[in-house]
Amino acid sequence: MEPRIADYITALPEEANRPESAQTELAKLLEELAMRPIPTGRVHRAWSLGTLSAKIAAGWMTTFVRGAFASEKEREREQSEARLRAALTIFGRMGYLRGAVMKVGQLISNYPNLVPRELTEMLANLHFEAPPMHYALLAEHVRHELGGDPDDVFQSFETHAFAAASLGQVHRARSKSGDELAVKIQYPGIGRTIQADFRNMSLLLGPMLLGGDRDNLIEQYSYVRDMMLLELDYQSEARFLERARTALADIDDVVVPRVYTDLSTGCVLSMERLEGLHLAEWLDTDPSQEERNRIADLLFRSTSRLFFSERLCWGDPHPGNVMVLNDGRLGLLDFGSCRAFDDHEWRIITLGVYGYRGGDEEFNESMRVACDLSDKQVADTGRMKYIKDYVSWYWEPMDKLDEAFDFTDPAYIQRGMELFGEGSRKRYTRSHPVNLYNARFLYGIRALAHMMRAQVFVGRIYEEELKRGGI
Amino acid sequence: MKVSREAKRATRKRIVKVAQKLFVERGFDATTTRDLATSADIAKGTLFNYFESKEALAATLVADALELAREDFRGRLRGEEDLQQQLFLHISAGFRRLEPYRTFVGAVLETALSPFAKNGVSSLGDELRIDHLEVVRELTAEQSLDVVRLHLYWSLYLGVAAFWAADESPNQEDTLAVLDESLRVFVLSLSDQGGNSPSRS
Repeated sequence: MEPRIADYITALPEEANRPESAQTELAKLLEELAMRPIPTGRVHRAWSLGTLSAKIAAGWMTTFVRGAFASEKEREREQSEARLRAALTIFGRMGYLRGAVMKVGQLISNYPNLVPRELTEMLANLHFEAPPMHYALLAEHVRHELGGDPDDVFQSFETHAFAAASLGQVHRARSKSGDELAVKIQYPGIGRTIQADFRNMSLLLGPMLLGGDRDNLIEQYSYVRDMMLLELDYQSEARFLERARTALADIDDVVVPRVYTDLSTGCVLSMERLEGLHLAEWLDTDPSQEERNRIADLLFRSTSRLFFSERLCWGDPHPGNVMVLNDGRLGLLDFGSCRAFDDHEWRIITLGVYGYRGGDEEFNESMRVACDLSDKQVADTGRMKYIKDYVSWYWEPMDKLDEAFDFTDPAYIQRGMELFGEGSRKRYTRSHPVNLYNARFLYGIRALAHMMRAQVFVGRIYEEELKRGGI
Repeated sequence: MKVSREAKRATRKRIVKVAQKLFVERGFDATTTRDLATSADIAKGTLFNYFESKEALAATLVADALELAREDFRGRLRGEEDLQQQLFLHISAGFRRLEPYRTFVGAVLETALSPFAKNGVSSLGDELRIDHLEVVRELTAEQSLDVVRLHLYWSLYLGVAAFWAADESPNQEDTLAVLDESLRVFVLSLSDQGGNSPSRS
């Protein structure tokens, strides 16, 4: 059974020295959110890790609240609490425009030392089914964007959305030439609203980023914020879709939807409509182990092809963005939060590969650059052990070339989550910002493989794709 | 010489057409009554036989556009819209027709539609308001609007219109969001009507 919001709150351990006001504010916010409609069906099932995640989310929340204030003086602690309360208030109120909370949730989930990822994902999902745009509003918006009413611009256009998108909604349509389309439409003005929210959040959260790695944290925050803002631009997503579509053209059984550029703008994206089931729905049909392995294999193959050959990170590995088509092919959706690595970022990424394969000295030197560490930090054996553990966890599925890695066991995913928590707790957060994407991508793909209970020859796939990418 | 009714109608039509052109091309403020009279090929004094002021002329343009918009609105109804959507369609149809006049709609709001409007202009404003609210009453027939709700609606409408007239967001997308939220507030107030507030109709 899915955990309820009340379960999350009651799961928070009691502790005398916990700052009560911040906790009370959070509880209030969660209660308020609980009054809103809770989604059912596919989206809700995406919250897939069940009660285990509830416990981890609760633990992380406690760690976050306690850790953030532990070393501060009373006065600073009060100030930080006030900022947290204000940030939570913004967080709660942003639901008036659909998607805003979801975007901020995504930002913070990339930023595990701020708020536990699982908790923010839960908040984001609660807002997924916010009141949709009605057709009269949507038609006016489309007219402004495409120069005509939907009925004039398309051969046909369904008035009711068939899916929610993080910043809008998706409608079925048919082009004048008869092609079946999925048209994603962004809520009018939401992009600039989110930019303003980011500015407010920056002002409030900035002073809370305590500890010796403050500059690095701000750099990471800016990096993610910029990427999130890029995601607001559907024209950017259209370019990533086309790039991915070309790059994956020679992998059989993988489909990236084609973009109809003449029917797309910065906030309307018309794409080829894929027919099939989203991952969670497909899993509900109880596919065989062989089929699950095949789909997971395609997922690892295609995303690592994009990563190593195209230097393109598919930034949002989420069950709602993966489809199994009616003819058995894998469909990849939503390229809005992609990252195309530049030369410097790519060097950071490859250092991680070479460092892991080398000895201790080479590893330390690689991590010094990849994580932007000082001499003192490299000399900190606790920190370096933590990084080594994390990198080992990261590489574990790739270590065996001739053996499928079994993602059925939840222990592997749980260990990864615990490592995130440990890094946050010990403030080992210093890293090049590009690693945020890297980690999110890898963690997301593995969480999907776990959800599929798949066994995948990850080592073999990565070996081949690394070679193909010249690494 | 006595001017026939037909000739008067033709002159009036010519003035309106000229005003439509000059207000859009030169802007409302930059267009003088002398410009209007010259372009319409009449004496300046004659202009005032037809329209009391430049503002009254602008209000006439707006009234004509909104009359056409009411027809557009009826044509755009699909029969499946709820009240909020119907109201949205009604207002947005007006904005579509008023789009060429957006730069001087503010002046009309300040004169014809303002509660402090001058005589003459305000009577046209009254007509505009009555015609608009007649449609709203028709759409909300089941709720039988009281004076409070009507005032709330009209205030929201004028507020959104003023916002739209000055909206610099791309494609005036902020106006769509403001209109959507405003109508949500209004429709919500109707659902609350029977319970918490005394009826004043």
